[in-house]
Amino acid sequence: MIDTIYIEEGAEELPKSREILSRFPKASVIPCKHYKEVFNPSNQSFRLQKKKPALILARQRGKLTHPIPQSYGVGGKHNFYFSHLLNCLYDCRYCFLQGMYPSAHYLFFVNFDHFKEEIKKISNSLDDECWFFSGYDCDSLALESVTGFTSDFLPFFRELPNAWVELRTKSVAIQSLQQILPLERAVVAFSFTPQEVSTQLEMGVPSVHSRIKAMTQLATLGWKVGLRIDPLIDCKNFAGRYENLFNEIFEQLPTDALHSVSLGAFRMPAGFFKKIEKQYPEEPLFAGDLLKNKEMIGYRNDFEKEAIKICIKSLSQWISSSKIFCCEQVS
Amino acid sequence: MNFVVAFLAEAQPVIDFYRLVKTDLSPGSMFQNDQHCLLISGLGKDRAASATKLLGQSKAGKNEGWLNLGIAGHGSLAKGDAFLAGKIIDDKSEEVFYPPQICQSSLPVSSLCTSSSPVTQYEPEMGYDMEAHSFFREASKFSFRELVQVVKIVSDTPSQPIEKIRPQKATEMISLHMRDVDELVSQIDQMALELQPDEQIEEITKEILTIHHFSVTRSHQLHELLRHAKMLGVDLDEIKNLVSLSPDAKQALEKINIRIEPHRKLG
Repeated sequence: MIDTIYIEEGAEELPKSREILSRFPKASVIPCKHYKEVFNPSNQSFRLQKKKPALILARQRGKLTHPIPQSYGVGGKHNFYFSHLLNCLYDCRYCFLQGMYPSAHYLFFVNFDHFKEEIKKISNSLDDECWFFSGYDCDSLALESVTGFTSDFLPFFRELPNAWVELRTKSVAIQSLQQILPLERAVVAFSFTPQEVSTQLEMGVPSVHSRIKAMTQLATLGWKVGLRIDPLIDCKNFAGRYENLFNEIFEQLPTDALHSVSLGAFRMPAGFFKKIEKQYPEEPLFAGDLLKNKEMIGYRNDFEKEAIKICIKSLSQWISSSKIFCCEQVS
Repeated sequence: MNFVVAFLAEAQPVIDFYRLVKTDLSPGSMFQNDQHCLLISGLGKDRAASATKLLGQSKAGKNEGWLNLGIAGHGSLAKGDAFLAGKIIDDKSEEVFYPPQICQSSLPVSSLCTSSSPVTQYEPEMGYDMEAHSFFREASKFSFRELVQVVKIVSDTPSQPIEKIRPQKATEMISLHMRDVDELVSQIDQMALELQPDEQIEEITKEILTIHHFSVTRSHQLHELLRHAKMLGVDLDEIKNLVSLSPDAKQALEKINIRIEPHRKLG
């Protein structure tokens, strides 16, 4: 799975690095001074690197938690995200990471303690509840067998009295969660597009069916789960496909375990889009009915409004509208 | 694939394996066939840089494969072993390259130091050559870094330090690894092919541009629409007919847009 590991000077001493190096004894280990020497150079092909990404073990410096974009929350007042990992096991054609990062290598920040210190400091400084989102720049669970992220962070979050954590995923690697008692303030949020769309755009992602099964298993164990219907993709038979998806989910999922559903149409900064389109000039998604609006590329406003309306209507058959959040303001 | 090799003795196995033929018109010693091109650079950083630049500017297209092949010293590997350079440092500068290792290869990956003069002190886990750094710096200006690789065959080690290596010995050592080299070359060439522009779209764009006068902006729009048409499954000859039936470029673009519109939803 991992054939090449780059290791940043100083990171090799950290326990997490030693653990990973011992897990991949056959990997070529290449030392580097700073992860940016490997991750940042220009003229790398994200597309080609996706064929066989390497693992970079490094320490993240500076600020480790950041406020999330407005309207991206799921009901919380104070919202932050943090990224122990940049890049993803999967290869989703709509993903902004392809345009954001120069490299597709997995950049794994092994200084977990620094992340925890900062998260603790923030939660201690707030009287209200606060949210920490972990799956913005990666899939929270997909590389668990390599990173051990949830095994390490969930016990930490369990001790914070006012902190919620969201794990966002398309993975079915839920073993680490099945082995522990559910956290009161954790949401395991699964992202979905209809299977027909997933097959075309989400390379390497487990089937919708198996993800629903994993989500249901967690819900049955007492975990709060979330649905992230983001991005919504303009496709043939949009209403029918999304309705089928919701039906399949709610016929199995105990709805009392559902924390929230968020909806958001496909959109990304124009600069990222341009970069991605250049890498995949043959991708039909990018020939969709898209518009540039204030440096963002997305669907036309009328489609976005209609798509969200269709989904809300369909979802309302199953759940209270108070659990539905829209990631973009629909004017 | 574009090969840059310091000496003829190191290049001979490649020339033989791919049946490359010396070209009369090219500067320096260049050998080629339909798919591959090899330039003998001569010894050292400057010569490697010049040869790579020359090949890039005169022969190679954008995002083709590049390989620097030759003999090297090594602090840990045994004489005769081959390795891929995963990190290339320079003895005189801070600049470090990390050729991305995305090919499946049985060759071990090692760090490599490009020095200005022959090395007699070997550090463990380190290879030593005199060209790779300059080669990589120049070649990665013409192609994505994933397509630029360096393979070295160990000719000298701490227990068998560098002496005068007979050219024939270098040829023999490299010949033994041509199967691994070829495996790598095939993978890189395949990846390079994946990145090449769609020839059908390029050709039909050229043809259509002769039908009407397209401004620079409109010719870009045309190219994009043709690309969209192809990926959405609209017949490009049909598009060409639409253009022929339009009175000017502006209306041609409008007609193509209308023709494509119903197909813009994902399947």
